[in-house]
Amino acid sequence: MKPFPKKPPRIPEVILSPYRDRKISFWMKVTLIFIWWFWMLAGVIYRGPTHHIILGTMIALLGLDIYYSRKAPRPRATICIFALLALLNVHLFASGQIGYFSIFPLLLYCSAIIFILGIRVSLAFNAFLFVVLLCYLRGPGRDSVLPIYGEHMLVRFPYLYVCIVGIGYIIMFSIQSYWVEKAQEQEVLAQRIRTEKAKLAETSFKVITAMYAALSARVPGIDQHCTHVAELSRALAEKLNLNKQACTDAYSAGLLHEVGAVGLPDDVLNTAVLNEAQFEIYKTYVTRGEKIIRELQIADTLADAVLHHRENYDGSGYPSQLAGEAIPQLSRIIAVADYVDRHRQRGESEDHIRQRLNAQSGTRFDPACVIGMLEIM
Amino acid sequence: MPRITELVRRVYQYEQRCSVETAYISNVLLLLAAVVLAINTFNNSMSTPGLYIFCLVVAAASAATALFLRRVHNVGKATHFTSALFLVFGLACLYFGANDGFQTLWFFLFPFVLLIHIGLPSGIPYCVIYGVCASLLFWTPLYQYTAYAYSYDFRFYYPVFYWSFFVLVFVADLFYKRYRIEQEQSERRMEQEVADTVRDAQALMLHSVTAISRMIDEKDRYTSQHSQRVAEYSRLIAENMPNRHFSQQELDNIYRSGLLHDIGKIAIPDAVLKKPDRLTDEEFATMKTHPVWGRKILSGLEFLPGVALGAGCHHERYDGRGYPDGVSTKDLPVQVRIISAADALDAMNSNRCYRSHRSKEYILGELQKGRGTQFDPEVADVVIRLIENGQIKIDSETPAGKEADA
Repeated sequence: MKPFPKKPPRIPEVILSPYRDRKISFWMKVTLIFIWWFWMLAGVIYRGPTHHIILGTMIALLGLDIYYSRKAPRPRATICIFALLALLNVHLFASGQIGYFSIFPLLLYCSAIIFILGIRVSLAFNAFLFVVLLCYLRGPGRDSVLPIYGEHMLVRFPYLYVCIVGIGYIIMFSIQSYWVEKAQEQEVLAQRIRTEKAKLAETSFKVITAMYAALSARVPGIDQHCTHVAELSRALAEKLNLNKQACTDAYSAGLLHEVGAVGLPDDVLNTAVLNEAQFEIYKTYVTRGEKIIRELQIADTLADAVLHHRENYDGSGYPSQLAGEAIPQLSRIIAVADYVDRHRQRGESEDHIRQRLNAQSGTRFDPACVIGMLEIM
Repeated sequence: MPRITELVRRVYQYEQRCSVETAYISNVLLLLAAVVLAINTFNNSMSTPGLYIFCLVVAAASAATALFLRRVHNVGKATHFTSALFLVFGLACLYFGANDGFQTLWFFLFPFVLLIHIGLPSGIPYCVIYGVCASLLFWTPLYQYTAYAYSYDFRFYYPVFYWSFFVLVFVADLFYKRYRIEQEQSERRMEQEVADTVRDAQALMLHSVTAISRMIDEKDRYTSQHSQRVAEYSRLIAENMPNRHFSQQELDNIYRSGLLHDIGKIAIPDAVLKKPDRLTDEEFATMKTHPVWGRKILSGLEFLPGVALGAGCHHERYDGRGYPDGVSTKDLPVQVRIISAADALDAMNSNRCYRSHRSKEYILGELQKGRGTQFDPEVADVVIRLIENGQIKIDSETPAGKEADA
């Protein structure tokens, strides 16, 4: 465990800190209900005047509060209910229903609200209750409570009150300063995560750009095609409601889908219509590209996407004859984007491309991707 | 129910690892001392002189402990000792029932003081012992033996309220500590995430060099092997430079620079790059564009310092008569001069598609001749020394065999 902080957060900040740990509040309420229920039980065993009606009301009120704020905190309702509870406790104390100990429900209530309401709100409650208490013990109410509690209690109880409630505040202060401190630390950490992630994204973007630049140097004119495919892929990924990372990956994979072409011999690259043997060589560009991207070690999604972007949905593609969902989604996206851009570059009309896409949906292309692409076009 | 036991177990184990929160204990003790003192000052008429003195002693002891707690090394033992003392005092009060029994009410404080800041493992025994003693004393016929005749009210409700306060503080402690455990876990997760991201970014920088050099490899195996050798020569030369010390990172960057210096050749058509004869002027002009391509390709990778410069300027010369820009390498970082020398060295020391490698004498002669014109004299001296003492091997022994391979 870390040592306790050498420089704790500033005091006002801690006192004014919003209530952070809902679980403490909830379980303290449950505990209060349990304790009150325990007192009712004790009251049954105790042969004498009991306080069942007041305790029952308190349990009902607190149960209402727990029910009411079960989903989201409702500070105003909680404060109202706790004000009512405070009045009930004061009544219990002033009427002395269970004799000498009638004052302790109030004390327990005062220390419990510190944990339930937090320092800021409970301070107001406790200040008020302390004044009420002093009015009874030392002030005008003295005569009415003297027969119940006796001289000693009247004189000394305020000290006990200050002690118990004061220690309650010391405890709550340490809890709340922990909240504040952790909130600050985690803010710093979250910030660091964001910057490091951004740095990583930037680095990988630069690496991909460099590889793309190398590819464009090798195969003149390919850069336009790759950019188009990248943009179409990202648009399609967004259309399919993929997450942000997947959309970025779609763009990168689109940029790099032809990166293996650097390894193709000139005669294959520069011939418009390939013969059988040349086509066999041409087909190796997907595996070449995959190997190059795999070297990056942290871009396996991209490597897989590039490797499989020539697979067909019915399993008739290359290199692995994957079919359907077995083909990575990014590959299916790039396949459609690649097809559309190739045919656009050949000068075919948009309508014609739509028809071709529709015709090959489910055989060559993933139907979902085709639908998305038709909407984009 | 099993979940609660599990929670208690986790919190218990957690608190065994925790240190005691000294600062807060001091605050609690100071508050206690102040209150006890206040009681004695304002209400001394109500207590016996013996109790008065005892309370003073307790207040003084609390204050002293609070002030010296920071200097105590073994806080655990000190708190155990104090808790035991209070426990004995509490049991004595129970027996004597001082101040009509009010004195015993002070021990409702036990859980508040002990549970949260000292922790369950060391706090629970004292709280429970006191509670059990009080219950036994008040709820069984034992009460007849106490020195003070407690009323039925008192005997019935004292343990009830003691245990109520105990449960209250116990639950607060459980959920406070549960929160701490969770926060520490999430913090560890976040730190792990930061570390992972940093590691990924570094790995990416490292592997991007391999990936890009793999692209040359796909295009032209020879260039790739050449680059590998230039990278090794460059690092060797850099390590042996007199008057200069390169850090490990700089050496790595020189190596990477060597590995990528010919990346621009990716743009040169196979017909030129792999031509077995001497190049025509036109072809040579195409060939000369490769540093420009190299710089263009690598210009975005500023996290690999010097790599773009190495690719762009490795054919520049010391006297400024090189290509593509004809600048003098005097004005460029020493890394560039090292790479250009290593490149020239490997060109002479390997079999090209149009000729086999040169002899040791020829290479040494060329280096001497180029000293101060093509090469940085300092770098040339290092290379000559490395060749002479055999750290750079010249395969002059078997030129004929190599020629056959080529």
